Amino acid sequence: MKTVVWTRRFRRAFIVLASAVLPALIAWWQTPPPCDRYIHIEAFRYGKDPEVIHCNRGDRLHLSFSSRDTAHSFFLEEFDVDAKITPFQQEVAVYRVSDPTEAPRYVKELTLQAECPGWFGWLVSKCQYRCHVWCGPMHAFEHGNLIIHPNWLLWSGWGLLIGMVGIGFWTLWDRQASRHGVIGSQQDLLPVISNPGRNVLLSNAAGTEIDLLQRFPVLQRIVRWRGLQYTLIVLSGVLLYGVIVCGLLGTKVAGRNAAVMLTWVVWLFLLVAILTPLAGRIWCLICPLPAMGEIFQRGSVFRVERGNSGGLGNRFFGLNWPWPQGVSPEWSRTLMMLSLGTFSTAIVAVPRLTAWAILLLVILATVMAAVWRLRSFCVYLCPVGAFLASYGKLGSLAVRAAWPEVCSRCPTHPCYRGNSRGWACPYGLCVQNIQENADCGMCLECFKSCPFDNVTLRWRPFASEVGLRNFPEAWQVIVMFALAAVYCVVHLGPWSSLRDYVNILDKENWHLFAVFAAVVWGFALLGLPALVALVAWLGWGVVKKQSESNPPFREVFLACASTLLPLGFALWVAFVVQMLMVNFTFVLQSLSDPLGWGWNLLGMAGTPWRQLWPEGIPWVQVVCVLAGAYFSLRSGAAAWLDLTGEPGLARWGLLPLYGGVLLLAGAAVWFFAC
Amino acid sequence: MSRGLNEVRPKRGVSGAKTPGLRRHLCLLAVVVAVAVMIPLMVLGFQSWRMGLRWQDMLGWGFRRVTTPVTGLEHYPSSELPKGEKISFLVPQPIGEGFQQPPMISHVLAIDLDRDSLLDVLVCDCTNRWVSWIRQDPRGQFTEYPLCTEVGAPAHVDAVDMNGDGHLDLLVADLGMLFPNNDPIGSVVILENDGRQRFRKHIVLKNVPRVADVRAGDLTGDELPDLSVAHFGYDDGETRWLENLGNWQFRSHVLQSLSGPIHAPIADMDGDGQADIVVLVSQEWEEIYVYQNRGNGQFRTVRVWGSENEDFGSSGIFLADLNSDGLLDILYTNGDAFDYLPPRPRPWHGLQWLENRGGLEFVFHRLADFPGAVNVRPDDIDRDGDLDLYVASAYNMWEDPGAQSLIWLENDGQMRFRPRDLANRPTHIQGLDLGDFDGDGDLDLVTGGLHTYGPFDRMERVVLWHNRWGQETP
Repeated sequence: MKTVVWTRRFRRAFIVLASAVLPALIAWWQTPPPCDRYIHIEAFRYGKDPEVIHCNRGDRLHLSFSSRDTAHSFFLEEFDVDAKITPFQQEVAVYRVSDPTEAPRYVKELTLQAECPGWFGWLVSKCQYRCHVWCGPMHAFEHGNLIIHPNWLLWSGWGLLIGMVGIGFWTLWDRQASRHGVIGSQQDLLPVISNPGRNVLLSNAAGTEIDLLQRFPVLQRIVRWRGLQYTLIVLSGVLLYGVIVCGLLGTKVAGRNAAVMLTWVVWLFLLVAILTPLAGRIWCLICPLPAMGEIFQRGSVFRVERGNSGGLGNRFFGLNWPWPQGVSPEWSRTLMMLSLGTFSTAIVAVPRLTAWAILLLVILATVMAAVWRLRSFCVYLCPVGAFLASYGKLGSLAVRAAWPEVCSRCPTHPCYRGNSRGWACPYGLCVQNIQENADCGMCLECFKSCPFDNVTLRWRPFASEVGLRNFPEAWQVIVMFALAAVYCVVHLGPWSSLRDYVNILDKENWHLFAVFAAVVWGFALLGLPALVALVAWLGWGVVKKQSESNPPFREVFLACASTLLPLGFALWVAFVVQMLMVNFTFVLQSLSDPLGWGWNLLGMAGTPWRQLWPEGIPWVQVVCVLAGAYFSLRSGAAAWLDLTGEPGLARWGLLPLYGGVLLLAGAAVWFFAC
Repeated sequence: MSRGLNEVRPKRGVSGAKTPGLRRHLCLLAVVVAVAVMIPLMVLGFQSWRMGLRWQDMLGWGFRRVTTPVTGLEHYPSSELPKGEKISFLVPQPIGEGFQQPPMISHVLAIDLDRDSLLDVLVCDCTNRWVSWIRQDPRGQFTEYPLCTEVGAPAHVDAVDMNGDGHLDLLVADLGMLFPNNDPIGSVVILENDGRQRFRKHIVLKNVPRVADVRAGDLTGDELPDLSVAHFGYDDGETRWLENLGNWQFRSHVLQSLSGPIHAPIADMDGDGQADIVVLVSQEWEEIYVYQNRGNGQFRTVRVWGSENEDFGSSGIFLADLNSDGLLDILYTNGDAFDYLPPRPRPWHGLQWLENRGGLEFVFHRLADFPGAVNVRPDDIDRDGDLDLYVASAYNMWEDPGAQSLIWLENDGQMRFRPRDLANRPTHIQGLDLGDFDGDGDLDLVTGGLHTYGPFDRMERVVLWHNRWGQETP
């Protein structure tokens, strides 16, 4: 048996390797020898023309420059070049990125050899030329792409994608064959269980979840310590307040204001790339936005008040109204996220808007706490909640009942109602019913209130939980995917004309912005759902032709939408990774001089701009996309297996779904690699 | 399946428990408010301590900062009189080198460098990246000589005898690059004059934020000229003074670390006999500071004016006793338009007079609106005994043929000013200085054109404007 499994694994590894290497070799074989290329680059706010330069490895690039409006620069860190472009001047001053204090060379033509030094340089296929002369509020988004062929990254990425799809089908074929006794019983790579809510849980069957509290008993004391949450909230609250102060009082230059750098570079990276995949909605534990309102509601920070406000087991201050019936939390917070996301460029580019946006969220959360019960803001309106409710499901950490049967025998459910030991669940949940991370804010209150110590922290593999429960949740996931795609295309892409559509700052393109907003909302709420519906309908139709027992279309739609979860999350990670790696030195500068007032608290205020491993950025991004695609394909396969119960049928149903994932992931690989 | 917030409906009015103590709530609220207020107060206090300002001033500044809209639309009502008829009395004469590319002259200085009693012109040329000397020899004949060719973007030149040898040395402020750049590429260069107008270069400061201005004055009372340096930078700027230790050695002292200082002239502003430093800080600050010299290298910071409009467009200051009361006033132009592309004039551009009332108290007077105003010089143009003003514009509405690049403001004797047109060509005048070039007893003008943006149909590099007041002019 072991030999069969290992043979199969070896075959799969070989396929993966071959699918990555072969296309790259073909691309290499077809690349013509080096030549000379004469390229004129015109810089303008906010882009370069040409937006993308294609060349072959070893080509000599003869670059000349001009500016359409103000001064710009051609900043290509991979080649240690920063050519300052002056309007109406033919000469450019060429500085070295590695030593900007060195006297510049003045040339009319800059010659580069399209090869990066070092062994990794041989693999570099995409470099981004940027602007290092502040030319306006959207200066940070001015860039173009230098593509060096053969583009290993692109072809290998595409090859891997196709290889993954092939392996996915092959796995199903193996399953079918094993059912018919061709291969025999095997341990599946895609273990699946389902629950009544059609929430597909991957890997759970394999028993890979770890009870952290059992494994690390010291954690029991930590999570039950009442001071934990508010100690963390005080720390994050001080940071949040610092961000507001910096935004309101500090410099208007976003790259030098700690409000922007800490919020949209550091925090966003930590939230998206670290906290969410590892710990799901752990951010809600330390989020300071609702803290003031919650303290007001409870009338206490540490002490638990017994009572029966609103039918719960604790005493709450305020009106404690229920949230209006019929308002779906998924829809309300998704629309909130979409609204904020539409204006995100302006909010990011203007520190004061960042500060006001955060301040308004704090005020909103506090006012809502005074009027509505529990954490209504977090559940119904928090835009971060929309993100976390979607992608927190992928996270490895989960709050669950240690023994469900204990919960079923519990008569009072103090985890939900609260008691003298702990407050009622701020999210209105009963631990017994928590089977996914979408709703639980991990505030750890139930650890304190449970009289049986039956709440635990489980650690499971990433993306173990990808099912969706209903249409609003599906739309939430689709909107989050759409926003990630829009952010990447508008802010990371080389297309300057797209940036004009969001430029309501210096260009005041309100008419274009209206078009942008309509397109984004239309794409997120109608276009992409229609695409998902089409894929679902095709799969559903194909399966219907093959079998009489057809799964309900609603379930097929939800299954197809759920495959956007890992891929969408990968896009978010790819987005924040670039934000951090490109702006890393600005983070250091703004930590040293948070308000841009000439302070130098940490001695890093004057650090020249260097990116963090710029050659590696597209590689990291493509790896993110491939990983997302892998989990999407896996989740799609699991969902269809769950729906049909028959590998052969699932394979038919998967055809359009895999096609859709291949299309989206292939486009993402192209975007990040080319 | 998880349950939502509404699954158990609240039982209204069934709360039998006590309401949480009001006192506790108030205490909590007080703590939160105290922390919320303390943090910005501490930040502002720290900044006021760093800058040597009174914390009350900083507090007021912080309040205005938070309450002012992101883009201010401040407009100052001026006391200008209705526009007067144009009087033609200037005869332009281009001098110095010709040009192939649009000229970018950032500064001109009228000075008799070779002490031959004929006024010459020093030129900061950002196109050719040099500081040059347009020598007048013989009278009426001008020849240009590059003096220092290894500068990135000279922004200002001054002529001072730095080593006491009786010859005028040159102080050059080098931006490194004319356009925005946050890299430390600025430098301060002194060109030592050997007496025969051959210059030896001393770089007294380099690898610093872009330097927009350097001036000389004895700040320590040791009779050695010290230097004030305005590092415009971009996001990182600062103002410092360099203590002259002799033998071309200087010790650096940072006065403040705000970005955007444009000018830092040295003069006795409070009449105590000690030279003070006046600093114009542009960028988002738009403020004027006086660093009052308290002796022994100690300075007290006084903010004498600040705009609430981050976009005010400060472009330059010039010290002159405009009302002849014996105290140096500050003439202040705002017309920088680089926040807009192409640079466009704004409604609030114009000219201010900060009247020195003594004790470093200054009273703000708006003298005139003038789009794109960048430079001002006082002179009794109409010879009526009071000082009138020449004002130059680099960013007027050039597509309007009537838009002026040079005007003068006629003083009616009551410190009210009547604008009168002078010239609409060349456009984009940045450099402006006065001097009697032709020896006829009245002050002529010399201007330099900074043609960074179009239109390029009325360009000139350096122009000498002969003053023919009271004479027939063509």
